[in-house]
Amino acid sequence: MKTFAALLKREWLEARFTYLAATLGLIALVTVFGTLATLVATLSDGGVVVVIERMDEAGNTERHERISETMTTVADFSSWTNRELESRLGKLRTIIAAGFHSTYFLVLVFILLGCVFDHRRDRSVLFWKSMPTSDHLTILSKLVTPVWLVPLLVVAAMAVSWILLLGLLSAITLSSDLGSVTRLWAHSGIASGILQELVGYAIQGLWSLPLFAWLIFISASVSRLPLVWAIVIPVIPIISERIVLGSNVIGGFLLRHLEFAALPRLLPSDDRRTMMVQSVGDQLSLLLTGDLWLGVALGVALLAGAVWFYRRNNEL
Amino acid sequence: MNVIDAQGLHKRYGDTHALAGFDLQVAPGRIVGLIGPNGSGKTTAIKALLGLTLPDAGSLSVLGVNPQQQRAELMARTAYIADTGILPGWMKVADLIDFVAGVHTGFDRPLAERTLASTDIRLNKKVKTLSKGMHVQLHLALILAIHAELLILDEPTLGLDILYRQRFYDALLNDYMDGERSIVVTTHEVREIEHILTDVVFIHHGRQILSLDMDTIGEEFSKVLVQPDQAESARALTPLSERPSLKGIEYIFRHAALKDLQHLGEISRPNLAELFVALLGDEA
Repeated sequence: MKTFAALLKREWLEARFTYLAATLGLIALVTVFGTLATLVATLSDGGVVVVIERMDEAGNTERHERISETMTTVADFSSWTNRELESRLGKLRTIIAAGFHSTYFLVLVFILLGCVFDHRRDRSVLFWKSMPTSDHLTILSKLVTPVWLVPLLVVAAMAVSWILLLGLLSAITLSSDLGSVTRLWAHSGIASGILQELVGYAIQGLWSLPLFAWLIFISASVSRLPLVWAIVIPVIPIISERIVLGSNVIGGFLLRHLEFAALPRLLPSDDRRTMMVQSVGDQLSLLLTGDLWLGVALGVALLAGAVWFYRRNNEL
Repeated sequence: MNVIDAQGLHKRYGDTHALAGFDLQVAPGRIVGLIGPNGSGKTTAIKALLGLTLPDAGSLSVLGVNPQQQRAELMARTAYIADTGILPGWMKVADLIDFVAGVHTGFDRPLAERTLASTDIRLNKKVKTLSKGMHVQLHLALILAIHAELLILDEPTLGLDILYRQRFYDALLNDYMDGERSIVVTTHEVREIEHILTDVVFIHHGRQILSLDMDTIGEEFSKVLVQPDQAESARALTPLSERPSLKGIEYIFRHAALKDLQHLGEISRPNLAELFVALLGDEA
């Protein structure tokens, strides 16, 4: 256990500046845009719309319109029911969370692609292998730290961002005398949001295991251009299936797992035009699906392959 | 029981036969020099001993375990320094010490910190900011603080100045060797380690071509300084090598009777470098 803890710490230390820069940067972004929007709102009578337009640059048009409605009236919530208030604040949380999810996903892809490859390139793999650590534990630590431990930081950063924005909304509310700040905070849903995110990331780690394990497998096996190999190799069977069988079973499977990896808690609805927020119950229900466990089995097989390559491959 | 028992190791990389039936036996408490020209298979042999590469054929036991199948168990009792800096550059010295302390039960942290305190290396420095000499000092401080039964060194002083190389080997003898531990060392600087070795193994084209206890070199090999008028008599005894020098011609003989050599000239024990050149000829 002590050995595994040391390995997890090593994985954290190696990429901590990337993780911290990404999360602190996003907190700063949310805060700056929120503050700017508040200033504009104060100066332009109802200009809270500006907040939405800023935030919506990362989203699609439809959502933009709906969110705009939400935000232009969010401060004037005295006529809303508690349920409406919670729903609208929930949408605001979701937008902020989506920014964190997508940024974290991009960081995660590059961290996992480099987790073994970088050590082989700088030859430090020889040092790590000169330590009494098993190859299994080493590879497992490269999965666990970024996929299940770093999200604790991400969720904490999200919570800070939510709280900062609620603070700004409180300031607007107080200055406009539009409602009870106590009621705003009581129905902010931050606690349930944190729980939802934590469960979401835990489930995401399992749901997206084939993707994450694939990146580690590539990192341990190829001798150059890991990103290219990681993309090109899966594309071949997808295209082959489409040409030969006219079906898209492999592509569909990969896309489902990829979508949730990039935007956990936001799964596409059936018409694929809007994103649906997944409740904790919905997330947990994924554990009962064969799709998840098929992916876990594939992920475990890929991790076993990564161990096999890690044992044989040394410096580049 | 031998610390290392390797028999008939083979390893191919494409068309290159890096190991071609390599044998190595190392008894406890010995300091073995593994000597060979570039590309002779030294590093591949070292990697096989450490479980870092999988031999295609042959049998191998290090400290009683199979390195490929039980590398973690082996590395709990073995320490290794490679031919170039392999410490992770992004890590701080203090974090590196924490890591080794976390994974190695045989690591004496106070000893490592005492050793580092006597150097210019500061704990809050990143490894990549250290000079090459400091890098090796740091690695040595970590390794010497591990209570390992076997130390494997692959060109450990490559690129270091002569002063530091000497300190390195002094530290090895004074701080590490206790009569129980064993060391396998490869180096190009044969003269620098000759005085610390108990055994020498020459490797060439992936095969062991000589394995000797250093004490028996003088019994098996002789160097004779011959004047040119005696050259034909010397050649008649089929020497391993002939090399002109300022004082005459130096011949190295193997298994030659002392009485046959005495009348040829001054007899002495060849050093490792001379033996290496004599055995490998122009290929050395």
